[in-house]
This record gives sequence, C-alpha cells and structure tokens, in this order.
Amino acid sequence: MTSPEPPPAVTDEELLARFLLFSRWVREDRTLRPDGFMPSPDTELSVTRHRGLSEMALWQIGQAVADARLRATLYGRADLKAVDARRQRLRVDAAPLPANRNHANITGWPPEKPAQKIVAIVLAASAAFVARD
Amino acid sequence: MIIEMAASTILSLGTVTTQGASDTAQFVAEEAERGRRQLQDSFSFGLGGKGVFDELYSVAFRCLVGDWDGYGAAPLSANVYAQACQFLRALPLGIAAPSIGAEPDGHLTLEWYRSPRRLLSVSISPEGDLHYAALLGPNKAYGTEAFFGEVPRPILDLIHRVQAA
Repeated sequence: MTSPEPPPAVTDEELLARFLLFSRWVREDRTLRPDGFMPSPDTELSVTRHRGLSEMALWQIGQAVADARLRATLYGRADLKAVDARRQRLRVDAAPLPANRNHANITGWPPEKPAQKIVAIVLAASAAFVARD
Repeated sequence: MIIEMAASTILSLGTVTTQGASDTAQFVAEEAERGRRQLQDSFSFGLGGKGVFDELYSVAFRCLVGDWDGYGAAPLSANVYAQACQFLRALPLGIAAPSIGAEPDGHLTLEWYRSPRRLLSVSISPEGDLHYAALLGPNKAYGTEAFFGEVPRPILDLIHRVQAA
C-alpha cells in the first residue's frame, strides 16, 4: 500500500478556515473576537485550507469537528488568508489528518501571552466571518 | 458612627484602600468598599445593571468542560471565575461594560471594543495575572499586570483610550 502524496505547501493567497463552535467568538456586528485566534496550549492554531474543496465539502469538515463533541454547534467559520498570518511572522504549514487532508497549522507564536494576544487581534481584524446557513 | 461620602467621590473610586492603620481607618475603608460594591452591583450605577455578571456566569458555565472550542481548549477553573468577578467589581463605577469571552488556555477575557482596530482585550488567569493587548489604530500596547484587588493604571488608561471619541 502506498501512502498518499504529501499536500503542496500553503501559498500566500490561500484561504484558511477556522471553524467556530463558540458563539461568543463572533461579535454582534459579525466581526471576530481575537479569542478565537489564540493558539491552543501547545501553541498551534488549527485551520483548514479551502484548496480544492467545494463550499459543501468545507462545511462538512467543520461539521465533523462539531460532531466530535457532545452538544456542539457549528456557528460558522473565520476565513483568513495565509499571507495575513505570515505578515505576523507566523508559519502556515500543511498538516494533513486522516479525516482532513486539508488540515494546516499556524505556528511560530511568540512565547509570551500578551504578544500572542496582539497577534490574535490583528488576525481577527483581517479575517471574515462566514455564518453557517 | 455615621459615615458620609459624596456620591461623586465613590463613583470616581476603584477599590477603596487605606494607608491608615487605626481601627477607625480600617472601618472607614471597609464601609466605603461595601458601599462601592453595592453600587457596582446595582442596576443604576454599576455593571450589574448591564448584565455583565450574568454574561460572565454564562461564559464560565459554557466552558466548564474541556474541549469547549472543538480544538482541545482547557476548561475554565473556579479560580479564574473568582478572579474575573473580583476584577469586574474593582472597576470604577460608571465605566463602560466589557463583553466577556474565553480563550483556549482556560482564561476569561474582557473586551472593550469600538472597532476591529480599536479595542482592548484583557485575559484573566487563575493566578490573577492580567495579560492585556490593545490595538488603537496603528498603535499597539500589550503587557502583563498582577491583580491585587485594584485595576492597574495601564489597563484603566487603555479602557479610556478605547472609549474616547
């Protein structure tokens, strides 16, 4: 059995989706709070590349993230260009998972929490909210 | 003993402290603090009337169990909730109400927001560390302050700068 080919590197203009399962990460004016762009405790921000996916296929991946949790709702997603993360000196690397070949990680976060927060604020300001229909 | 204090004096105060060591000084400080807390919780003057404490409870309850964001977020602890309550009560009366959120490391966040490029976010850790970051147009400010019952001056200044017209 041959292993699947590694995915191509993430280009600057690629759109990345961050699925939102916490309604408070979206403000009433439909802008995004920086909280949703803070890295996990292992200092990675998990995203899904739009590359080659239909809108329906993208939402199916988001729904799978929600379905993995008890009583979770997929409220929408935050779309961000890879270049916006790289402008903040972050790395964006393909990190395919068995259930999501388009998975990618945003890494290279500064170690100090306040510095992470200012980066997250800038990312949130660059991103666009797309509501789940 | 009757203690009178002008409302404007109380309104301008954050948490009331005293330099005095006598029993009387301590009593005055405690009474002033009690009055201030009642006002902070009140409908008319404080954050209680703006629903902030309800919002805080709602967020904390939602994030009690780990992985609440679907990406492995840490659960919120009772300590972080208690620190956030104390911080909110220490805010000067009449200040704009923040909105409440949470971060994947289990910290609660308070946000003062005018636009995506004009806001202040303060993270409260279980240990009482206040990690803050503000974007004010092209200017950035960020850092960490310890919370010992009073709202640190740099954070108060940033709240006012975000809210200024």
